[in-house]
Amino acid sequence: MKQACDGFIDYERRAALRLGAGVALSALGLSKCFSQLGLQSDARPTEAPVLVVLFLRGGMDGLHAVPPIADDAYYRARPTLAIAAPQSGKAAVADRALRLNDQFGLHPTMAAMLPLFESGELEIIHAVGSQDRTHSHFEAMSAMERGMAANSDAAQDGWLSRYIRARELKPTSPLRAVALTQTLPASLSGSNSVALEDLSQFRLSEQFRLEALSALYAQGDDPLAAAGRETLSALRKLNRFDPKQYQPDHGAHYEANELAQAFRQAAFLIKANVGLEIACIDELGWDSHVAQGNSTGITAGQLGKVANAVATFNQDMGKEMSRVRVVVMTEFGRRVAENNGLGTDHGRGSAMFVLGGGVKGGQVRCEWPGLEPHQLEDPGDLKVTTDYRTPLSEAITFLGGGETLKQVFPNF
Amino acid sequence: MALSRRQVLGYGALAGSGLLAGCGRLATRYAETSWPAQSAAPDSQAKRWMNRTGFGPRPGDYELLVKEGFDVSREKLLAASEPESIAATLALRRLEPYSTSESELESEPYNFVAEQLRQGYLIHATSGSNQLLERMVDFWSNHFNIYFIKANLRYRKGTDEMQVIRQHALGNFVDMVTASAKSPAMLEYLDNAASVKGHPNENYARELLELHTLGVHGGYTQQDVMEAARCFTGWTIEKRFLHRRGEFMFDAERHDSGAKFVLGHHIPAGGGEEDGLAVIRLAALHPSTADHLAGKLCACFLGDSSHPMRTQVAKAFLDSKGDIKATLRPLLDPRLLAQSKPVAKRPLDYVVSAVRCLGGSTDGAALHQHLANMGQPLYEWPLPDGYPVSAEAWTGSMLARWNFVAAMMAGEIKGTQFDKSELHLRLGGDPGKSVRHVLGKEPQPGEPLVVELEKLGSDSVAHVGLCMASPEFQWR
Repeated sequence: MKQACDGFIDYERRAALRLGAGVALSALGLSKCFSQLGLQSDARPTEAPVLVVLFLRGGMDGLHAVPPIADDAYYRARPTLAIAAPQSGKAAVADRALRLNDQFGLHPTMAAMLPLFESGELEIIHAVGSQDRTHSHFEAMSAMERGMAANSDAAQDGWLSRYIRARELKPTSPLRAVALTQTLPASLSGSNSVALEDLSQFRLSEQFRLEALSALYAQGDDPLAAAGRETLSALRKLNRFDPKQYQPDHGAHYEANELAQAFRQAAFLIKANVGLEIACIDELGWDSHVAQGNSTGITAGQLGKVANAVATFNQDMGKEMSRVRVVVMTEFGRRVAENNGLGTDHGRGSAMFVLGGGVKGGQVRCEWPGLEPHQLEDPGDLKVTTDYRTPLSEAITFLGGGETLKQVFPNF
Repeated sequence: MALSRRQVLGYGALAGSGLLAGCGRLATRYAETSWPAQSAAPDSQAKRWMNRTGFGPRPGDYELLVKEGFDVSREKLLAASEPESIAATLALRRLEPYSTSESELESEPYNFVAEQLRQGYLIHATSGSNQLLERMVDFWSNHFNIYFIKANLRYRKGTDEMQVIRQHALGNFVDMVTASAKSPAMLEYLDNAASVKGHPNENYARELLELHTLGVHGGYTQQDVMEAARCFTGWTIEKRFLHRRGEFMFDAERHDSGAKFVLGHHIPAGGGEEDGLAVIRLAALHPSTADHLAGKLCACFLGDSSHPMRTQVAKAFLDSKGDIKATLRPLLDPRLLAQSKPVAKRPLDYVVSAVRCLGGSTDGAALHQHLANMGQPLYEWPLPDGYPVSAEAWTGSMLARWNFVAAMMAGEIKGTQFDKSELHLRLGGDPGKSVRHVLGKEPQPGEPLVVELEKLGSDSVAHVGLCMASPEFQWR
């Protein structure tokens, strides 16, 4: 077990050691918000769509988040960790799954997402994943972020960077793609996008006056002069409206944790209309080999954090959510059977959450492979019956990039 | 043996900072440039010469060029035998990836190794006495790009940098391709190390033809890729202690010994390691390769891959059987350079040219973070084609460029320094002198830059910073 995780520890250490780019932002314009902010839209049309990708790193347990409440094999495989069915008489109400349909429930800490599912804004995809069978975090993440079936496939650049390169936007905002993370995710590698862990990093040094640079860059039709103008325009907008002072709309209140704050910054950038098209957010801490817990515990807390952040973002965006899509993904799920450490080891299929514009929600999309021993794969994993690139392709189409899909996901 | 000007100045600077005592901490300081008595705007030929044949002038380079003339300068650039400053040499010698074997290096944390490799790149580029060599090292490092995040390539890239890129940057192209094909870093990066008979891995063979030699429209077929991949089966890395580490080895057991047909040539059965060498000879001196390289060199030196000179450069390549100096010679023409299109500075060009312009020096450590902010962290381009050349690829880097200049002028980049009092003394608070020094042009009354510079009073540091932040300094 320890050995299996070394790669991931390395990954986290690398992430911690490397400072860098992280937030991909694209422009969203809410006319109401603009008027509140006193912002003019000019980088992209105000109705331009935006994609927010949340990557849960470490292997999020889809069977924990979206338990198959009608599958007896689930309860046999996880005597300690299983989430009780909604109608179970053996657990307190607070410890039972929330009912999604006859087949699936939602982890009780994810209650904030339930209304979104019931209203049809949220879709859940189950038994989803890649063809990577190494059970290595790094290999599996690498495959997904590069948009490949498995990590042995050749492409080295990220799927989002292939989209960005395949679909040139003019003018291009310096904040078209923003990673709101410490380091640039591999999905944006090869795109010259930057990581901005904190939007306040997008500030011009006080050594320069904005007006002086604006005078220098007022003329000039070469690409870098034009890029300078775009950058100065974004700086002026962000200067006028301090991210730290940003007040969410519709009574939304973001929690203080980094994940919620990343969503808050994404909302700000979308409303500031600075040309954001893609925002990437990361959340670590899903590698639940030990003491995973059930209705409470480490993973429960993580799931609650995700549900609250996403739901708050949805509330903040209000009607503008129709031009925003949020995709929540992970590199793989966990082994079906719990281990001796009251946790779960690396598996295959997991769950994805897709929320926002154009989503046919209110359903758990899946071809359920079953959890009986003969239905499992490799050391006892949930089979992958839906390729993770299906929902990602839909997201690219939502952005208006349907014609780039062959480049974004070659061989798919 | 007479000491060169650089050596004399280098020793002077070193003695002044107490560096001759060999103190490691002080070894990061190795300013070696004296400012000329007077700043004059170089003519357009000299300006282009210094910006294109290297990473831009240091103070005094223009005066030296005027004194020596282009012909002498060209021969010195091609000979690349100017002595390096003692300080830079000492600083580079401290970097382990250049001096330690991979197996020993592997006991170091890979982030440490990565940082040292980046430091080496930046020290070479800013302080290297042979600037055409440094320009070409950057060119070939991208041409034979290796993404060192993959696997354990940080441990292998230092050897590749020294023995493939730097060793052959101004040598012979066939030798460089051969060295690259056998470089453990490349063998691992493009998966050839895992290529065995029956299951040839096409990755290296494809990039060899598509990127390293013929070019994507160079006339090879998928069949050529598959056949070339068979030729390279068994080219792998020797195993020690059950791990793949160590040197190149040809493993006959893994090699497909059958006959092959590549690029219109029969390669008879039983050739062994010779099969791969035959592919390299066929590909490296192919007319398509000459044209492909000529296009890339014209883009690098003349700002236009379709420049009419492309034919002549390709011919020089073929006539000389891949001699890189002979190939570059037709491009080293001051009139041609002066008349060519501007070339966008990639972040590396921008950062290095700025440090050089100040007569500054760097240990490359904290400075690298600024490159990363601009989207060009060294050795981290994930694709085998190297960092993009076009200006459009770098439109996201402007804010980071300005903030880098601001930090450097304020002395806020640890390990990167320049002599502020010397700068004040030489530029004397005169905005015109800063324009001449940084942009190599005469200031025009009423132009926006001059208007803004005048608002900054007589602060030469601020003048220089604004000149470097201007649109003009983004081009070379």
